[in-house]
Formats: sequence, C-alpha cells, structure tokens
Amino acid sequence: MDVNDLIKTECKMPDVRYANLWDSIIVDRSIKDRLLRSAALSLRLRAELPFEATALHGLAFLYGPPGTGKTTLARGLAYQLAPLTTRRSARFIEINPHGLMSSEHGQSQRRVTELLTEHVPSMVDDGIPTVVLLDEVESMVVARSQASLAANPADVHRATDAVLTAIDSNASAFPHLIFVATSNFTGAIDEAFLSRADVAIHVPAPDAAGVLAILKATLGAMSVAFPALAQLSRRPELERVANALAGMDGRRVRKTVSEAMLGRIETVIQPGDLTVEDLLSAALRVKQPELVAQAKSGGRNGTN
Amino acid sequence: MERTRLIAAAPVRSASEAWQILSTLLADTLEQSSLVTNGSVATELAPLKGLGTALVAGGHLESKGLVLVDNGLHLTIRVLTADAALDVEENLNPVPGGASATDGWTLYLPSAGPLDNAVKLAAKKSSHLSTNDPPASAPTEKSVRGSHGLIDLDALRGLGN
Amino acid sequence: MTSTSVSTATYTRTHTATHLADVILGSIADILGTLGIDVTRVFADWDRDQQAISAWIAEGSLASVALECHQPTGAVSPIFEFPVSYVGTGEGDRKFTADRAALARYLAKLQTVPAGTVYRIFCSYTGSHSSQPGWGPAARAALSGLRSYSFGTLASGPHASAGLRYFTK
Repeated sequence: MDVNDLIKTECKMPDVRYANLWDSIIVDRSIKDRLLRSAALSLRLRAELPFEATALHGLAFLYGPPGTGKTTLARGLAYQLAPLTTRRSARFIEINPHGLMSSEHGQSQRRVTELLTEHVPSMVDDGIPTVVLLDEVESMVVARSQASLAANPADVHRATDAVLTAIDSNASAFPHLIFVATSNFTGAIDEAFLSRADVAIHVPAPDAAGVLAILKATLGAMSVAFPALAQLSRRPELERVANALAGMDGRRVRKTVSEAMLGRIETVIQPGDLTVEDLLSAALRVKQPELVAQAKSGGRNGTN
Repeated sequence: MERTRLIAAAPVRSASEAWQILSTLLADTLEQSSLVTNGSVATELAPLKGLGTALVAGGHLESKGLVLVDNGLHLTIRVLTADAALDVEENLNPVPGGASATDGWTLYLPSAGPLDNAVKLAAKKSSHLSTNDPPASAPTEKSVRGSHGLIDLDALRGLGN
Repeated sequence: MTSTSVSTATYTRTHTATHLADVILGSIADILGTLGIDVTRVFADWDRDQQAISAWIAEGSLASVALECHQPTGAVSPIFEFPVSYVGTGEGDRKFTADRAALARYLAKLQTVPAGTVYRIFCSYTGSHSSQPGWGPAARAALSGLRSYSFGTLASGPHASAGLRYFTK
C-alpha cells in the first residue's frame, strides 16, 4: 500500500507554473475574495486560538457545475496565499481521491486514515501553510443515505467516516493545513462533511457578462501567437456571441473559440482570420445538442 | 492528536533489536526539530539501556507502552511480542509533529511490575524521563508558531486595495 | 510502510529460539526484580546471553536454563529452572505464546531474599552444543533437599517450548 501513489502533486509556492491559474478563471470577484480571505483567516485564527474557540476545521468547499473553474481556483490558491504569509511560502498538495477509493476491498478506510493523518501531516511538518486539494470529493465522502447504503459497499461509508475523523483531528493538530474540496454533485455528499466546511462557495456558470469576459480573455491569450485575435476580442459584436452562449460553463465557452476555428479550413491554417460570424456559427453548433436534449425532455428550462 | 505506533519484538526480532528501533524512532521524530540537538535523544535514553530491552522481553510495553509528550505531540509506542508481534504493520517513519518538538519533551515510562524500582531509578537520571501518568493529550500551547503567526498583516492589508 | 507479518507457513527455528530466549531472559529479569536482587548485570550481559541461549535453542542443544540465588549464608535458594522441550517440526497451528499473566501471579507469591543475595545463570545441554562467547563450564548447585513446584509451560513456539520450575528450601 504505497500512499505516495495517492499524491498527485506536491509543490511549493511561488512556482511559476501556478502564477496564472487564478487570473485565468473569470468569475465574480466575490468568489475569489471569499476563498482567499477564508484561507488567510483560517491561518490567522487557528494559529492563535484553539479549535474550541474558532470552530474552524480548515476546510473550504467549492461547488457548482462542471467547467466553472473550481479546480483551477483551488490549484491556484496556494500561489495567491504565499505572499500573505510570514515566510512568503505556501505549499500545494493534490490528492487523487479516485486512487484512494479504488483500492482492494476493505482497504479504503485505512488508506484514507493513513494518508490524511500520517502521510500528509508528515509532508507539512515544517509548518509552511499548505493547501490540500480533494478534487471531485464526492467519491470520498459519500452521503450516508439509505439509498447510498444500498448502492455502495460498506467500505465506502467507512472511508467517509475516516475522512471526517481525519478532518477533525487535523483541525487542531495542524492549524497551517487547509483542505479545499471541490464537487459537481452536492446532492451526493455527506451532510456531516458539508457542515464541517468553514466556507462553502458556489461557483456558478457564468452569466452573459461573464461569458463575454471569458471570450475576450481566451482570444486575448491566443493573440500572443495570432495578434489579429486581439482586435477581434475588442469587437462589440462579441456580445451577440456571449448571449448565444449564455448558461454555458466557462470551460466550454473557451472551447467554443477553437470550435470556431475548425469551422473553416482557412481559420485552421490561419487562426488570426477568425471572425465574429465564425464564433456565432460555432455557438449554434455547440448549443445544438443542448437544444435536442431539451426537446426530448419536454422543453425543460435551463441548462445547468 | 494522539498517535500510536506499534513495534514487533520476538519472534520477529529480538527484544534488544526492538528497543534499538524504538530509540531510533524517538530520535528520528524529535531531532527533526531545530530545538532538539542531533544525538541528544540517544543520550537522554542511555539510562534505559538494557532496562528497555528487559521491559520489551518481559512484555511490559505491550498494553500501555511508552508515551512521548511534547508541544503538539502525543505518541504512544507499544512493543508487541508472541503472536501479536506477527500481525504488526509497522510504520517507522518519523512521527508528524516532530518538527515542532521542543527540548522539553518527556517520555513517560509505564509501571513495570517487578522492574518498577529499576525504572524509577533510571527515570531519575534524565529530566526527560518520567514515571508519572502521562497527560491524556498533548499540550496545545501554540507559542512555537503563534509568536510569529502564519499571516503577514501588512501583506493582508494590501489585499484591501 | 513496512509490514512485518510473516507468512504462516514459514516460521523458522530462529523465530522460535528468539521468542523463547526473550521470554526466559525477561522472566529472569522479572524474577530478580521481584526478589529484590540487583538486575543491572542482567542488562549489561543481556545481548551476550540472549545470543547464546537462542543459538542453543535453534540448534536443539539447550536442555534448560537455571537461575540460582546465592544467599550470603551460602545457601542456594530459590532456584528457578526453565526446561526446554523440542516438539513438532514447525508446521501446523502451533504459534507463539507466553503466559505472562500467570507468571505475574506466580511471582507475586514469591518471598524476597536476604540483602546481599546474588544470582548466577546456568545452561544445561542435551548433548554436544556450539560454544558461545562469555559462557564456560561451571557446576550447578544441588537440587536435593529442595522442594519443587511446577509452573507448567511458560512459553511456546512451533519448534520448542519452555517451562518453569521453582525449587526452594
């Protein structure tokens, strides 16, 4: 049982690879503010006061539809946190929850306990503030409802217990350790886990203004290689494209740009030649399956 | 957070080897801290040389074990013998929390029946050894980190802009 | 992380010997502590004695270990004997036992010895045996005239077991 396999990433900030993650996600400023402030506050309070006074578990929870930037924000948090710390350093660790849960039968609980109460704490023994990402945490903290008990092996539920116990122990033992959990499926997550979150931040799909900002940012980033795209990003007609893509998650909005480029062979050869019309056609193309899905379900409103 | 580590003695290994492993685990854990000089742990455990081996062989460390207590550290080490030793899954890595150990660490020795007198005599030879009952949990004093704090308030003020 | 569990089919004579030697020496330390006899020399000689006793058990040559208490009057009492019997081939269900709880109760009934009592440890053999450092020929005290009490089996392993007998005036 090699718990090293369960650590996807361990990295100390500042690290240039993480410098742009935070800015690459376009969301309402309040979302980023809440996440960063909750991390800073957690470190500030938990270093001074015992758990009984703060009731802070050192757990932040990001939830919302897929593709809205939750994981990227969590990955970028340590980089943002580093300059706020006394040692100008923060660490980022990413755990692989699926690897944790797909071990041989009956082992999940032990692996979770060993990983979260022995291995991770020993990695952070130097006291440097550390963000640990539990991405798609619904596989680790399954809701213990009747239906779930029928569908999931008992081992999975014991693993949930192990996660909760580990969070409780680490809360007071390691005040410099912050867990950030993300999920697309809040209904499937154990209530006791959710109640332990110091902050639960909804990261929604972008509104039309948000979509527009994402489109501009995507074109702007690509203009480094194809300068003409910078001009396209300033065209006011982009608003029509944004309206056409309203309700779509940020990741898919970004992919619409490359989808637009493959609409004509000329734009594959020269992406800088991309036009607003190309983007509008792409928007219709990518929305098409959704229109079909809505029709089949009787015109159900909304997408996410 | 209270932790327990198990070490296997006979038949897996002799009592003497088990005691050596136990001493090494204590040293590896405590000497991660800049406040605990390398080699100092072995020196403080020297009064237990031989006696520790006898405690292991006599099964006196099987139930209550030794308890190491320091700032944020509460570690029980039990040494198992006979059939129980066969099932031990050892974790001999340094125990988390060792890096914030202080030079006020204390190793609590259990009562050992016929060897109680020998244990009491040994405990008198080091300020780090005690035959008292250990506290139930580690002291939660955060002065080691708290005096510096983790967050730079000036940098935090910069966020307000 | 390392696992030290040994596959159930492969307990060696060394495992049995290590186990019995530790229990015998550990019991000797406990006995001396109970009687009030200074145990420091046991600690100092431990590694040497453990090595010898376990080597002899592994080769099947050790018949018994005896602990004699030599009182200032010249009397030798009590005497504790740990007879070793060799059973089985190491296979099957016999694993490693040590009846420590019973030993503790047994020791609680012992009387202390006069101050100044010292101890000597002897090994007796079934036949020829390897030579071990620190151990040489010596004569044991006589057991005649002493009453004997048997504790029974003190510890066992797949290849051998050790008992305990107590002789006193």
